Amino acid sequence: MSPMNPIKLAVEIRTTLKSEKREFTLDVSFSSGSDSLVIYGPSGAGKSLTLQAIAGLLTPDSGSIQLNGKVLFDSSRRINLAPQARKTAFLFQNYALFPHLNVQQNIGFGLRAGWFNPGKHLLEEHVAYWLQVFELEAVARQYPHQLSGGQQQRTALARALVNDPQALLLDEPFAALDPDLRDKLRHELIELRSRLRIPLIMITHDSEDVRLFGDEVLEIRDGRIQASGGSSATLPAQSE
Amino acid sequence: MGSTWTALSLSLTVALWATGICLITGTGLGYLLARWKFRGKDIVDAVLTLPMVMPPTVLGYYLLVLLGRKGPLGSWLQSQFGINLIFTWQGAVIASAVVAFPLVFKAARAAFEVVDPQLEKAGRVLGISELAIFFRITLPLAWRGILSGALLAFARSMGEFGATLMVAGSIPGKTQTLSIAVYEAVQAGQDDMAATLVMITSITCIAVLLAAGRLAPGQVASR
Repeated sequence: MSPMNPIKLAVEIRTTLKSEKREFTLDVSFSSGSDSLVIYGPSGAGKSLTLQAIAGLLTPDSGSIQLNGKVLFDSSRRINLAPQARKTAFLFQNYALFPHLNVQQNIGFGLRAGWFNPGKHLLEEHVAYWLQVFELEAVARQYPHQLSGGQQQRTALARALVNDPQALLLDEPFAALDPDLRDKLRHELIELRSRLRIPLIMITHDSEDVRLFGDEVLEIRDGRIQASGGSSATLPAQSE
Repeated sequence: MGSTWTALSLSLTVALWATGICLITGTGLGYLLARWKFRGKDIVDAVLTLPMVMPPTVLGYYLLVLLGRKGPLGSWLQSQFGINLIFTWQGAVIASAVVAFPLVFKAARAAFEVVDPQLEKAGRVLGISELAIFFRITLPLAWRGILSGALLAFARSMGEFGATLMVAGSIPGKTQTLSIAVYEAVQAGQDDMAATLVMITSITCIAVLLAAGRLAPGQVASR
């Protein structure tokens, strides 16, 4: 696989979440120079909170986050960039497609800043490019509930990538899928990664994802980093 | 017969204005209570819902005290702008809006609460400002629920009697709405007049309810 620009990510955050039943403390510190980082751990370990903190969807109590030399968050300097200003792409576990917008409106959503959504029938050049990349031309005018699971994920990826982000954050991208589709979409993502050269940060509780995507792996448990390592075992699926 | 149409058009005017006011205030406050966390939210919700359970005459009395010449708001409006709302059709609008407000507020709050906050997060990561997220994601997804609340508010305003009578009185051609005209006609023994007015009111209300039913969430495909 040809080398892509590796990301430089440095995270050092602490945050405490309280609910009636329990108190959870996330206290993680790591840095990565990999272009395919997997954060691995059981559910409830704090993976999702870490990913949300990087994207700016959650503000930690203290610490700092840097991505490619840019300070996204630094509590001591009172820096906290809004998610809008972080230039990260986020693939939500359930994709979070906008149900009232068709595929091409979903993909073009981030391209305009105003108060109005892109028109139903207006096809922008940039959107057309991404429809083609993800082979979604045939369903461009369909709505999310009319799509297959694979088409939904491709639409969500296209929507996330349209603004030329610094890194693609993936929140358990295959957890909700049935096994056949899971394998298919894993290989689509591997293919996409080598084609688009976009650095990935993925969180997962599935060891198969670690094997396929974990050039660098962090294991997180009870809110703390347990182990970090380089490439986990061999990476057979990438050698195509 | 001319006075019948005057009463109908007055009722429609009052109901339209009242619905418009409810739509703006009810949507705003419904969003606030659906999305923001603050202390005393339950109390705020109860106070805003109160007009739904209180007798309209009691609401009318409160409004008279508030908006009357000696009332705190009434005297201020009079001295600052020379506005008097008591015994005017604008006063009827205020009375109707207060009575119908909870219908829009409740519907809007419920509609906003079922909009997945994750969709708003998705908008944020895509670089869209908070205000644009409201207009491009949250409002379109809650719109159907809000609109069905607004239609009920319109129907409620059309039928408003107690509070309107207290605040605006019953001046034929000026503040005498359809429902008040029915009462006056019966009192005066004009049975034919009353029957006509009742028919017109019933048909209007049924039409509005049918429209509200069509817009109720879940009845139409989600697009």
